Amino acid sequence: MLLSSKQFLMLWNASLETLYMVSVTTVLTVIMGIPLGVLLVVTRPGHILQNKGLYRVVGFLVNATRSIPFPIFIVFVIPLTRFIVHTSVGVTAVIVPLTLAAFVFLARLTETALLEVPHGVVEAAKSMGASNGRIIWRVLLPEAWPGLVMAVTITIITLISYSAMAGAIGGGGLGDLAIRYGYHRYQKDIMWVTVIMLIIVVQLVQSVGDWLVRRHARR
Amino acid sequence: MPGLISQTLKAGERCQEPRFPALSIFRARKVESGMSFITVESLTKVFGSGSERQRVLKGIDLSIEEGEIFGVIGVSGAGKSTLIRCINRLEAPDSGRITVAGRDILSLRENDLRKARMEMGMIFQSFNLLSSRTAYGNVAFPLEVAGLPKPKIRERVMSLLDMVGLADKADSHPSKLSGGQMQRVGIARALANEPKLLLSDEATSSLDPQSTQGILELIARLQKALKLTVLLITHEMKVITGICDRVAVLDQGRIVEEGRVLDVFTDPKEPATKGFVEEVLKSGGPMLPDGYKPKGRMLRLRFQGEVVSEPLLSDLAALHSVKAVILQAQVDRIKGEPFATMLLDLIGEPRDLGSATDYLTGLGVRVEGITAHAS
Repeated sequence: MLLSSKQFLMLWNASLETLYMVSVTTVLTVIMGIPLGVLLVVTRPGHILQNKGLYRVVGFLVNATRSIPFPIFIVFVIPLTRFIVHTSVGVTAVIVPLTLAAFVFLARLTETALLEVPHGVVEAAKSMGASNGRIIWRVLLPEAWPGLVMAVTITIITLISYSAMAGAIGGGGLGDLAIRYGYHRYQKDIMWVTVIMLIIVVQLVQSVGDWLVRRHARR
Repeated sequence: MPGLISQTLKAGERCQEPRFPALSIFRARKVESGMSFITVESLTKVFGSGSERQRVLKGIDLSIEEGEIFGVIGVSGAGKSTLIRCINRLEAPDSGRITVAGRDILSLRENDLRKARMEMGMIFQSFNLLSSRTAYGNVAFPLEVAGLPKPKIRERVMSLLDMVGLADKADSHPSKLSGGQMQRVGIARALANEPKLLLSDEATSSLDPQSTQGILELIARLQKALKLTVLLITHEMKVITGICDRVAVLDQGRIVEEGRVLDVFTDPKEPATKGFVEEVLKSGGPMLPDGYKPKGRMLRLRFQGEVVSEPLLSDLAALHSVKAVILQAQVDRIKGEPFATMLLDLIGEPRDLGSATDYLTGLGVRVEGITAHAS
């Protein structure tokens, strides 16, 4: 079974779209999600910047965002998407709901990873006169490094999966191709190829993540 | 944070000894004469609220002199950990006053508190090393906090690791070190910025007896060499008798007994103190051979100093018409001084027993009548 050159071109374009969506979203998600995760940890009662009110509000917003199924979420944030990128359709428009959904997800995973750092280590840094900024940058984040790498890996894989739903607003990408041609038009060969490609990409991402964690653990 | 670093460096330039620029807080102040190095006054701390309110510290008063090793002993839950954590304000007390080198610790603002903390090293039961850093990196951390330049850090870290006998482990991560080695790294880290005070929070409690001994010897050696003042808390008698000059016994949030280690433990007055003494004597009370029936008067003798090396019982038998059955005898050392405990069944006429007891008391032996029970 060989793909026609037209099908091949479709696949190639879809791959590039997926790559574009996932990479841009990953960067934005990491930039926003990890700081939010840090905020969720350090504002906890008993932590270095404890603030019960802020902790509760942020926690609630994160949960609320995560409660909404992604296809509905895409529609729900259309006004915001229009405001930010001046359009609500296409690959670029998808980046807004994808980032919003993924960064709160990453924030929770970051929170879990940072909570693995024993509190005694934070206290030791405090006892040495370290500032809160130094504790975050030089203690919490480096100590939680393997957990953070895992968190980002899981987030990227989730993003690849979410990006398939982006077809609903003309987002494109591999998942969209599989649904439109493979599912709606019964072109099973396209479906199979996209599914296999997605599996390979996800495996690759997971392997890179695992490798980074292992490299750290060997020290 | 470049701002902080340049500030501390500037402070260092003004300082007479530019090698460790962060050290200014305590040096800047003259300690009032007659004032102890650490004073704690009416310190209280309550945890929780409502029905779960728990008064952990109920008015602690302490004074610790410069250059001594002061131990606070207590069972778990007595409040000792809270007490030591109040000294560098890892815990915020509810009321009271703490001064270190004449400086009011509880009124320090954030910035000054951080500088003050650099001058109070602390070591912990669970070591609390950074697992992502090597032994070298861990010792370097407080020097980075102090804003030292890299070459200075390198020089200082190597000499610190050498000081605790771990120069060859500089590149090892904590996961590759034993408990004793981890605590040595902890000690090197705590002393990196040349503090005058070392706080030790159950530093040997998770170590085996051999490592405990090694760490205690190291602390004692460094205390002498660096003229440190050490405040340690522990639930282990061997730590107190091993290295402490003075001890305070903490029981349910109060200090029930305090004084020179030798005095407190050769003549314990409070039940809590007696409990710890029993522990070091390795007996939960007089243990008699099976079926032993006391023939005379059961006495417990405690003595120290020169009497320990006297033929005490022979003299006793020769000078007074009494005979002694030794049921238990032990010689321990408290900070190097021998200290003996003996359980006797003293047989003789009541009059002779009286004069024998007076004779012993006259020699400085503490005599205590006891009712023994068979084990």
